[in-house]
Amino acid sequence: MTGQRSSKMAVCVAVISKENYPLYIQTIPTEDDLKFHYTVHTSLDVVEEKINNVGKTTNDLRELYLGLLYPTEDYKVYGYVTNTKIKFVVVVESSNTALRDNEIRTMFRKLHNAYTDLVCNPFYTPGDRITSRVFEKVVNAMMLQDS
Amino acid sequence: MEGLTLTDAEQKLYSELFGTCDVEHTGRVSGTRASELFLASQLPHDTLQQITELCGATRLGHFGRSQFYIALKLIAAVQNGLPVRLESLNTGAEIPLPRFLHVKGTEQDKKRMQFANPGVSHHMSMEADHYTSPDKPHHPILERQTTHPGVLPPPPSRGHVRSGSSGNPPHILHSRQHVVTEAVSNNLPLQATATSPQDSYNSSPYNVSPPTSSPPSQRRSSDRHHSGPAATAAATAKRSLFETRMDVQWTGPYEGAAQAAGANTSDGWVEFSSSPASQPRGMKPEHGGAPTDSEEEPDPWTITQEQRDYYTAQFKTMQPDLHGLIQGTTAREFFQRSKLPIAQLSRIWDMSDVNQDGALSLEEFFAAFHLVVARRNGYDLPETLPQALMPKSTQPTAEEDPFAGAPPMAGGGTPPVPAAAAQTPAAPQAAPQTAPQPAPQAPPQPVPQPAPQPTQRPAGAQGGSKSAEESWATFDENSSSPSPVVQSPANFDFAAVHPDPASKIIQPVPVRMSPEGQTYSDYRPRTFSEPIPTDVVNLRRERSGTSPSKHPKSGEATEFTPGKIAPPPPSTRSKSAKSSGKHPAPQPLAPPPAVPPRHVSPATKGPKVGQQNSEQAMPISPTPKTTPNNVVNFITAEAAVPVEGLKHSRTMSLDSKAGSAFRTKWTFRRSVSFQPEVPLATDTPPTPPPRPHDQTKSGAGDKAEDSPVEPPTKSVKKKAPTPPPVRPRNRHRSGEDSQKSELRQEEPSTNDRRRHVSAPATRVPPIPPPPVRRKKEEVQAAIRAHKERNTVLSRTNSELQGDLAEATEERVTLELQLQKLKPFGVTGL
Repeated sequence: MTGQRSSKMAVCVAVISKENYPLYIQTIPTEDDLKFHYTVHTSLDVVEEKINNVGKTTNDLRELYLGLLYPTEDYKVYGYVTNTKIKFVVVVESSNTALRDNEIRTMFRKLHNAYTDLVCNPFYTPGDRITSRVFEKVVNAMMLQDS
Repeated sequence: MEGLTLTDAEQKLYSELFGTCDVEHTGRVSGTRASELFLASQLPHDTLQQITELCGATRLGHFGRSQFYIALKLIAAVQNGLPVRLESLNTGAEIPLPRFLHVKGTEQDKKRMQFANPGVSHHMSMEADHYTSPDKPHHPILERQTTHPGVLPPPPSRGHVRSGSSGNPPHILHSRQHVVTEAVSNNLPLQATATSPQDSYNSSPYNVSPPTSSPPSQRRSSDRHHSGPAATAAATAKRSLFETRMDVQWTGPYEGAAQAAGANTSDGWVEFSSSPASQPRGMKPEHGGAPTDSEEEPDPWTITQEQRDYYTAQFKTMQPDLHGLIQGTTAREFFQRSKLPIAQLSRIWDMSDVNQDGALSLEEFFAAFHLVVARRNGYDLPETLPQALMPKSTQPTAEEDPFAGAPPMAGGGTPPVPAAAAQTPAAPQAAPQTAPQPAPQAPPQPVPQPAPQPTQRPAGAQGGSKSAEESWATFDENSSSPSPVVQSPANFDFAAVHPDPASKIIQPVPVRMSPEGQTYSDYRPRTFSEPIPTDVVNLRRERSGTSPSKHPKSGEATEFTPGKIAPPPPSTRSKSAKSSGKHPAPQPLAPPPAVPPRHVSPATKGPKVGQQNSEQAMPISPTPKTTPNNVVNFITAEAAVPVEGLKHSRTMSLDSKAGSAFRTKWTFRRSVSFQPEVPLATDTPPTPPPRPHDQTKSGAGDKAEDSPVEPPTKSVKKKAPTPPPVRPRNRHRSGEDSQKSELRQEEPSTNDRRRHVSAPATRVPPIPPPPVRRKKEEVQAAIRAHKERNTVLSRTNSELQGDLAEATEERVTLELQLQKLKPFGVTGL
């Protein structure tokens, strides 16, 4: 979060558990949340599909990054899955063309790190809803600017 | 104020009360709060009404500081028998401080306590009720104590109050807490000890036990005792919250107050009184800390030595090695004993585990334990780890980052939260941040000035006057080790880490490409030669001269890899290519084939080229060296005729094989493609095959033979479609196109190479290791550069991939054709 670019990056960030229920969803406040929730939900199918395909290739970090899941006319949805099948889904505006793929990857990396830190907390049980403020801070920073 | 003169004691008391009431730190006390407090004075309602009117609050609708003071003074006056009149204020007579009665164990008391004890009280009182668990004796104590802010310490006049102050700020809080707690939990032995707990807290961190029984009295006594030691302890400035709470110190001043107060009124009251008294004292900086209130706020977060010892003892129970770590599960069980909700424990953990390793070092354990104690005593959890708690050992840079701790502890909005204030850097920051703590608090913190304190206190309503001194003390300590910094460095470290993985994550393809490009050159299945316009091709050819078709490929590949446009492979081919303009079959083919297919070049060249190719191919294969030349040539040629060239080469080879017919076709196509080549080139991922070819150039040798066949076929076919070579060429554009096209022609195998080729085309400069350690800006700049590079690389990669796919297709078709044409081609040749 360098703040160099204050353009909004992500419009919605979601963390989904391996059982495909949401652990954390955060959208920018000005938007209709439900719409993003729905988008994230529908993107799960694509994620699953990619996971299955990706599994056939080499298992490297690149694989974790699923890339653009599917674009809608307004938004683009990117996915990332961890080794433990925790899925991160990020929705960005299509108009935000300045966003490069690499930046999305960076975003996911940050998310992954934040999630790892969260899991290190012995008081957090994986599978619980995420209430950590530290994690929220990371997500909010991502949503407000270009990571 | 209408000329209201206050004695010192009154000043202090009023300030404290004001601070307690003014929880929002707005500088005003709302009518409700004021009335709560006034009710505690046990004056008739009418009287209170009169007082309120007199002081002008009715007009204003709220109690400003002066109104509040006036009201308090009036209350005192009335309590002492004076009429309710403004004149009473200035009678000049020594009016004892207003007494506010707190019913023991009543909510009211608690409220009042809170009232009186701004910061601490709120939580504390609440907490007091909640936390009775004996796990942390101090906890309950703390809690209770805080609830008493509202209690006006009876007559500070006693003077005791003042005295004990060493830990005043903390004391005050404690005393308040005591009061509250006592009031609340008379039964709680801890409370009784309110002071004791404090004492124990201070002295023996969790001695809870002692005097709980007769809270006030005990407290007082214990306070006294404590105050003695407490004072000292407080002086250590570590006193932070706990001290105040636990307050041994408190007891000191508190006792004075308590005694003065006569312990009767509710314990809390007594305590409270001491607290106000202590507050003033606190203000005085026993610690020298500035405003007790303000000081207390930040101070609560500093760990006194007693606490530290206690924590260490606890740490040892779990981990005998003080330098070791307590594992997460162990710590979890331990802290769960405190009966705090898991959510809060989770937050505490988040804050205290600065290195995020899932375990607690001694310092981290201190921080966590301290936070738990604070929480149990009613202090809200800060948003970020207070400076005082920042494990100094973990982050040497902690100091640099004052803001880490500085961030106002918004938690609960309790004044005590601003732990950051403790630190010097934090102090200034904390001061402003902590609620109302005026800036002066920070600086004054170290300077226990009673004067500013009272003002500050009321302003800040830190409620933890004790903190003033303590904070001051702690402040000094903490100043050296800005805990907040710890956090940032930690974060920073993470950030540092990021770039690395980032770079890895960054399109691996691009990275690979570069190196591959080079290898590609070797491989160069696709002789680039083709793409390059005949002229170029010719040039290449000349250059490559010898290079057999194969070489061209490889040569090109090699050249290509570096991003240079490898000249068309066999110079001959190039020549042919060039000469034909459209590239006489063989020649054009030669270069292109040489380049793209690397080994294809000979074949791809077309009839003439084909022959040449074949010758070249043969020789080429064995002489990969030449190929580079070719490649170079080809590449250069290719550059000019990116994709096209490739195609051509392919066709050329094909021609050679297939015979002139093909050649013609091919040449034609080539020429055609050449023309469009340029435009096509822009296509970017034209035929994948060409690209890969380039890359595969390395494998040229063998491929050469094949590729000629294939390319021709392919090229023939391909010609029609947008020349794949163009595409790859486009990608490179930088000259690698030729390589690409060559590659494409070469073979599918070259596809991989092609990718590389394209990579070379893009020639991604090696990414310098992210200057993680440098300034943020540098890092960011580097990151941006990397990102851009990555983007470019990825784009190139995708283009190449596309080209590769196409090239593969072409190859297949060409092969088929070749099969069919084989006999024909032979004859043709």
